[in-house]
Amino acid sequence: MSRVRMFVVDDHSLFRSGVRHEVEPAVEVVGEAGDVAAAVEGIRALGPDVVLLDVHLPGGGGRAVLDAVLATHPGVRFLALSVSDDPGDVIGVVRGGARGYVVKAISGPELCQAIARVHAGDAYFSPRLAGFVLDAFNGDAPVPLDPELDGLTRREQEVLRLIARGYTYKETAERLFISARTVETHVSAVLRKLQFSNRRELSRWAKARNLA
Amino acid sequence: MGVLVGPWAYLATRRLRGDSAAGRILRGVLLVGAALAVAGVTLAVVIATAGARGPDAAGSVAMLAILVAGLLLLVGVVVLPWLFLLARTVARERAARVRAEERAEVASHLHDSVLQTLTLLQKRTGDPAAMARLARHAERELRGWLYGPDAGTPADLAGALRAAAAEVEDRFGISVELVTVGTCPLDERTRGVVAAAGEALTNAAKHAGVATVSLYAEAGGAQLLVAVRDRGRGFDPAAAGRGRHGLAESVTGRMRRLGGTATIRTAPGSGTEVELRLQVASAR
Repeated sequence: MSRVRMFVVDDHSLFRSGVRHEVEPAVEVVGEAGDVAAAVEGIRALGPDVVLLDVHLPGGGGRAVLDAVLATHPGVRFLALSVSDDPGDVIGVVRGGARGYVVKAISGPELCQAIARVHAGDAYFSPRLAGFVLDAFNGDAPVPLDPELDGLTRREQEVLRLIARGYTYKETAERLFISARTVETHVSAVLRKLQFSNRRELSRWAKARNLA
Repeated sequence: MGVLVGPWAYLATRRLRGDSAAGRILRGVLLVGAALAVAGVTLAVVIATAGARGPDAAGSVAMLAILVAGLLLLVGVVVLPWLFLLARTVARERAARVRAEERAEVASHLHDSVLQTLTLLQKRTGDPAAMARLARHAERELRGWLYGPDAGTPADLAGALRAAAAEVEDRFGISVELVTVGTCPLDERTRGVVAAAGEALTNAAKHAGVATVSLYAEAGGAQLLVAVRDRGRGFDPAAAGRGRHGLAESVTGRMRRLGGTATIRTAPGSGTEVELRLQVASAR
């Protein structure tokens, strides 16, 4: 398999070179940008497989890059990252189309794994994102608008719970006596629910956490 | 009067240039005043040329019109802008004072935490472990200040666990990855769970031989779940008599006394997970 072509968007050049250093040679960093306009232009010109996208970015935030790029290049896959502990922002970029979220403290090998997973079209949830999602879907919705989208199945909750506890996908699979592929299927299903659910509770939840 | 009002009106207009609403009002007043003066003079001229009442009446009508126009101009061009400018100055001063106060607060906080740490870091470049500890401490403090609830004693389970994790991080130089889902108020029993979790964290920090430990908590429903997990050495639970006293007594024993359970999942080489469960009266 050829190497993943990745574009790095972060406003700290020090961080960008750090990422380059950590993921190469497993991943080919084809370009980088420090703000929204440069990122959109660069991604459209270079057509990378995966974009590593900082949630907080001058000129509109990671969400603005997602919206602009996905409108013209829906095939580009995004992995979001941030140092922020703000669940509203994180859920925001995932709902905007990012296929995963990692924290900046992530180790090099783990980051490579997350990139590979997003590149393969799967979702990558860090323990923190899994926690946020469980929290967001936990609030008891009086009337689910769409039962298909507005709730997590028992199995999905179990998978998320283990990921939030620090289990890898493989460890999660072993613990639940299912295959790693099934874990990936569950996580992708959760991602879809997160992105397409119109559940009002989700935005209300994000708002409440923003204010807290 | 015109000689006095003219320059003042000019100055006021210049100062109010940025303010479109005030400018419009001022222009309106000027227009009405000018129109009134012109109308008065025209009326006087009309009356005078008609010759019906004689020049006396025409003169007094013109005089009255010009007087009213002057008064209007005085109020509109001098008093109104003056009041307006005064109000704006007061508002600006207040905003500046609030900004200065905010800035001072941010500065003092950054000085106490981040600046101090950066200074210390420069002095201790030879000691990577101490540097990491200092940096972690500063990061946590800054995060708490930026995103966290008001500082002080933690009021809920999530806050208490965060504090317990911070203490272990500082004491043993490891990092604790904390994820909480929901939270619940602290009482005697939930406090006990926090203490047991702290003990499990300490155990992991001491014996696992790894740099990161995961701490997960789920609360808000009928059951409280806390899990402490490391990918370290692990141990043989059957042979864990000595040295593992901490885990057996302070974690398992404590949970039993609280009416909950502690499950330890471990094997040599495959890490350790301590799972604490406690039934609580539904908090929701």
